[in-house]
Amino acid sequence: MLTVENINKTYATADGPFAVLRGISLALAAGETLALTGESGSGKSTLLHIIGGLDTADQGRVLLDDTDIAALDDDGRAAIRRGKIGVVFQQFNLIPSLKVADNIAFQARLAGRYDTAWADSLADRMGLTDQLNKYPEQLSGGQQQRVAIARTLAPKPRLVLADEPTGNLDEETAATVMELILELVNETNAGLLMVTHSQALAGQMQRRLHLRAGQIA
Amino acid sequence: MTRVTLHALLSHWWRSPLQLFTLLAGLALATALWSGVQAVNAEARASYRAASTTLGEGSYDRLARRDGQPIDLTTYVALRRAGWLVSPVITGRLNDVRIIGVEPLTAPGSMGAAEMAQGADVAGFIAGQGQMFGSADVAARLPDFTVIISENAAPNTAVTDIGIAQDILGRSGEIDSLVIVPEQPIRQADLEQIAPNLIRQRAQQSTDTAQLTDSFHLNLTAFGLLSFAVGIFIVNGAIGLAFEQRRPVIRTLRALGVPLRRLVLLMAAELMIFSMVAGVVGVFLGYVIAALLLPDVAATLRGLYGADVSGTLQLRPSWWVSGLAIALGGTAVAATGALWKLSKMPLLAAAQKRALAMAAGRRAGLQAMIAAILLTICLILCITAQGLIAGFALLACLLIGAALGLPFVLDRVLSLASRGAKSIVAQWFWADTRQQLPGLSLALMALLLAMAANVGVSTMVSSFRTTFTGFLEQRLTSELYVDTANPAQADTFVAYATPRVDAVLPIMSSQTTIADQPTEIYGTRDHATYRDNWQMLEAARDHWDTTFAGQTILLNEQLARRGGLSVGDRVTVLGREMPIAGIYGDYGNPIGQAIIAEDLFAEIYPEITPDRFGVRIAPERVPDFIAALSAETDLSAAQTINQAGIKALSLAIFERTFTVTTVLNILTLTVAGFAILMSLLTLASMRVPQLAPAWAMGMTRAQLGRLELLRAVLLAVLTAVIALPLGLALAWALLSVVNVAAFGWKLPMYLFPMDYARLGLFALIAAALAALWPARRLARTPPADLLKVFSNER
Repeated sequence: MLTVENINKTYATADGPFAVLRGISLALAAGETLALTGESGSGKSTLLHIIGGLDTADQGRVLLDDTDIAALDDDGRAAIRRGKIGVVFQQFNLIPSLKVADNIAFQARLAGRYDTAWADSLADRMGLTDQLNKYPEQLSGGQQQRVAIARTLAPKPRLVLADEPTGNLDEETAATVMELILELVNETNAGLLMVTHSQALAGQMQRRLHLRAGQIA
Repeated sequence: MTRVTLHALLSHWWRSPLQLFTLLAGLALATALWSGVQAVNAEARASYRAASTTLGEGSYDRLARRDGQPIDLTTYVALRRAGWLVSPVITGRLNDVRIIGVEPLTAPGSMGAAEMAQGADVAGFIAGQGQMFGSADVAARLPDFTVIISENAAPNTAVTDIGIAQDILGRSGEIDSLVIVPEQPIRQADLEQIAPNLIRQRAQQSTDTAQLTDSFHLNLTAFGLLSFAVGIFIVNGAIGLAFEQRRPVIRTLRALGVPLRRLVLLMAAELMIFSMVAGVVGVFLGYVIAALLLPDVAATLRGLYGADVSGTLQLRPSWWVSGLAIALGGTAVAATGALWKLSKMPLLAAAQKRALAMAAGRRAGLQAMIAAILLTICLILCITAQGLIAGFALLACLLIGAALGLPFVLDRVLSLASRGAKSIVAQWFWADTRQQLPGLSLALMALLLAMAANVGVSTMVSSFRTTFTGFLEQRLTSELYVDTANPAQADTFVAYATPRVDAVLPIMSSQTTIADQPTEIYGTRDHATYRDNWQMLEAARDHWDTTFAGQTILLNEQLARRGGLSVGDRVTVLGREMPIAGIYGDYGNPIGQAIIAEDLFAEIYPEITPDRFGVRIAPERVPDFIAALSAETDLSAAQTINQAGIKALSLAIFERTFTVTTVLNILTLTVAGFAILMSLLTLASMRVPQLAPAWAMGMTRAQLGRLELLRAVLLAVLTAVIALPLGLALAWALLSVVNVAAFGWKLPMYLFPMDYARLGLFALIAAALAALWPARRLARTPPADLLKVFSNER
């Protein structure tokens, strides 16, 4: 489903060019879960952004169902993001002016694949049924992250990317949220690529890759 | 996708109604001020056009007597017999309505009366049945006459047959002027032979109200534009803050798959919808403003230029379309920068914290540089500017340059103040104030412009008032003025008055052309009244001696400027060349004026004898003298004018002249106060994360609220201090450059410290009131909200 080939990315810094990714290649099958670990600055978030079409690589290919994301223009990458990819951000990134129900439905509606029954089921399983008419600021951090996960899974994406999804949550809430992500990803047969510092979380994935200085260690 | 995205974008405004209100209200107020002024201008111009059509003013040459007296019937008949195709006209006032008498059969085809007569009861009009043409308003004011209502009639004007008009006005057999029909026979007797006492006034030399009042409307338009600029600062601020607050949402929308181009287009469309809504509200408010201002404008124009303007307002497309267009254009200008930045914003950098402050910091240097360039151009224009366009370019460079330079200057001042701070709270206060500057700078710029406009315009108006009052004192020195009906009565009066008063000063004038400029030339008697009271702007030594000796001439400032003349230059008056000995101020007079000696005048114009006189007499003797004059001669008290009455009338006219600018001044300052309030309210919601650490470290919420209030007042004080010299520079430019170009005279500039102090106090109160609410809100922020800052990322 996902093939990443020889990705390179260099940033210009005050001290000269800094190669954040150096020849990264990986593959992910449908229904497979993969943890991406590494120290701060090892390039894991950059890699996630390039795979998600949020950033571009200097060199290399990102094939999602045979479409090279790296070769697409801005509009093309936007179409892939709304149609096939779901991203769970560490900062939740909900739309503060929309109610919880609208936030959950948002990406599915953008993709033109809104399924009321599935959205209701997601809200129920996330324990959000009583919160649907509230605004994000009225929810706790854990509840907001559950809304973000529900929004990501509502359009049933082919690939779920998660950037430290439990980084802002306490241990108990983090465990619950992680359990839900894995359960739903398994149910939709989506591929899951998760960036995390936590060895415990990484241990729950089927595979794990460790990045060091922009290369797979 | 478009619907879902638009819903997400619009939801921001529903959740931030205050911000939406700021945006809509700012734009509506800006549009209202602009379209209000445009409505007044459109109404006035339409009135001039109607008047011009009705009277043929500015379209046809005319014949009038050199001495301004009525033309008699025999002269008219002689001209017609000699082949001159002329048509008689008489004008006067009845019940404050301008009555115009024309002869429909001989009037040029396009003159309003003849046009209006078509399709109406022409027979009744010609047959002298007392019929008139006029507006409904005129009909109401002349209930004793049959007024046929015409939509195209000039405001406040009734047109009728000349015979009827002569009867109504009590001027039987008199004609004011003769309109010359454009197509004249080839063979025609010379005017000098048939009527040597008549002078031909070219169409462009006649009193063309549209030209005379252009300068007045230009001033109004400039103020409308300035008010609009202040409003646009609000809109710019509101849009900038809204974009700033929505940056994270925009990043999320893009991350979720909304294409950037679609996002930019939708945001532009969203703003255009808002600007249309605000534009409609603004045009409506503008209508209300115009309706309130129009009576004063009408009175001003009538008093200053003798132009009749309708006192009622019509919904003319020219101004409401321009109001909507400027609302859309203003929004586009205010939003272009924000949309451009959005289109260039990298997806992952979109949600940078304090991006507004960082961007403002980067912008500050560029802005200061542009300000320096504009102020340099302004300095160059100060020395070189001539004419209205250059004058307004000077004003634009001055105001925009100062506004752009304001954040830089304030930042430097605050930086300086922070160095002197001793306590840690003071250090935090100064640093925090500097950090707040980018968010408040647009509102402060609006305040700066509004205050500078206030200082500038009030200085100009007060200088004008002071000069004009002094001018009236010097020009209306005689205690009594007497109008005589004919030369015999004039002789009677002179014989009666001379032994009874201190001096009798004849006033006689004629129209002529000097240096290609239409001029009223006066013959003046050698008397201390003139020598002691008339102030010259520029004069040669012994200018009165040489002038009264018939060797030199004195000109008013307007004539000197328009003719490019100065003291020592030589001018020709009816073939006599003489040097200019002095130039005097002649405020309020739209045309050129010249003074020569009484004897010389009599030599040049032997046919003109004085019929008006100034009388020098002890003020307390005036009532008795008038009573005796009425009793012992055939002159009536109605033919005398007490000097005090003229002064009061002149000053009353003048006071109304600037009512409009005063009202606009107050409105502009109100809009600026509104800008500060809205900026502070918007910023208050973003302030919590910055204040929470200070609260956590031991400062009370009340203390934080008080400091917020102090900050607003402090910034307003600093802005007011900068606004004062800027306002004075504005006044100088208005008095010395724009005024000269628009009106033809330069006014001395006076300073009015008490007025400025009052304005400063008003601005401080406005800023304090504007800051009170947001400060109170901050002071009452629940601890739970402050704690949220530490529990999650806001």
